[in-house]
Amino acid sequence: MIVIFFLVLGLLIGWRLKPRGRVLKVIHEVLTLAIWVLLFFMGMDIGSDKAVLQQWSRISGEAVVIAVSSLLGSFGAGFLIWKRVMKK
Amino acid sequence: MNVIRENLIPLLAFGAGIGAAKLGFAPVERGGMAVLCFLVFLVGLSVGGTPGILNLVKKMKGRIFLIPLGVILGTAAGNIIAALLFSGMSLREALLGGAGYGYYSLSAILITEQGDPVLGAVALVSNMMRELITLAGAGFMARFLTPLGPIMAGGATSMDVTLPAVTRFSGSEYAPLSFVSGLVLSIAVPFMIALFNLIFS
Repeated sequence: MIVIFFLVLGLLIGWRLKPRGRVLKVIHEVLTLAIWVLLFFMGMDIGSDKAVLQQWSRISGEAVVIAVSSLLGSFGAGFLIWKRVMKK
Repeated sequence: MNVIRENLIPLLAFGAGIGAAKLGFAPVERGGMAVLCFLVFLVGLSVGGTPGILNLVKKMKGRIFLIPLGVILGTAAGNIIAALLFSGMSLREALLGGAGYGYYSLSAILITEQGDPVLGAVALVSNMMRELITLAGAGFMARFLTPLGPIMAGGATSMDVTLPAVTRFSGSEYAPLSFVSGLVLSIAVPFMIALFNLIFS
């Protein structure tokens, strides 16, 4: 997948060049900006998709179920790790 | 101020996109994908250059990876149970929706670009909720669900957005754990989404 390629490329270059100080700050600023642009594009994708708009109540309902189940499952795993590994 | 910057502006940008589409602007073909590649490249640059991570991993002798692994397995287990309980939701939807671990921008665009904008919207909203619940409930979680609680909840966001909350409520000795866990999970997102797509294709 092309996304993974770019991620690994960034990791390798970052590892070689070790950006820090102002350069790192600029990277973080551009990163924030890129997220906003990305969400704008996503909004356009979703806004031009009639299926999404029609199914909005189903979408938000599923989102709640997934978020809550993800959190509860993660807490369960955290509890196990705490009891079995961290406390020792 | 940071809370506004990190949560309100993304929502506004997303809303503006929907508005632009409503006004008749056509989505840019593959535009999201191009921005996404640029985005993960920047994430790589920032993460790859972080000093001291290898040392921390060595010191914990790999046990540190149990935390992000626990988030991945715990999230998947919760999602599977949810899909079994709610007949309207398929296993594929539940697992892909959960596989952002809070990293809403990345997971949502990956799923949308793979041709499922409805599930992409589900992923966007559910991962935003995960982040917001972690920010709002970190104090409660650290107190009642062990100091690992906020780190587990934060998932991929525990390296940046929710790191201050972890530091404050679990204690600063947990900040490095939190950072490494979030980092591993951020990198895991595209792999887990690809994996679930492969399983359910």
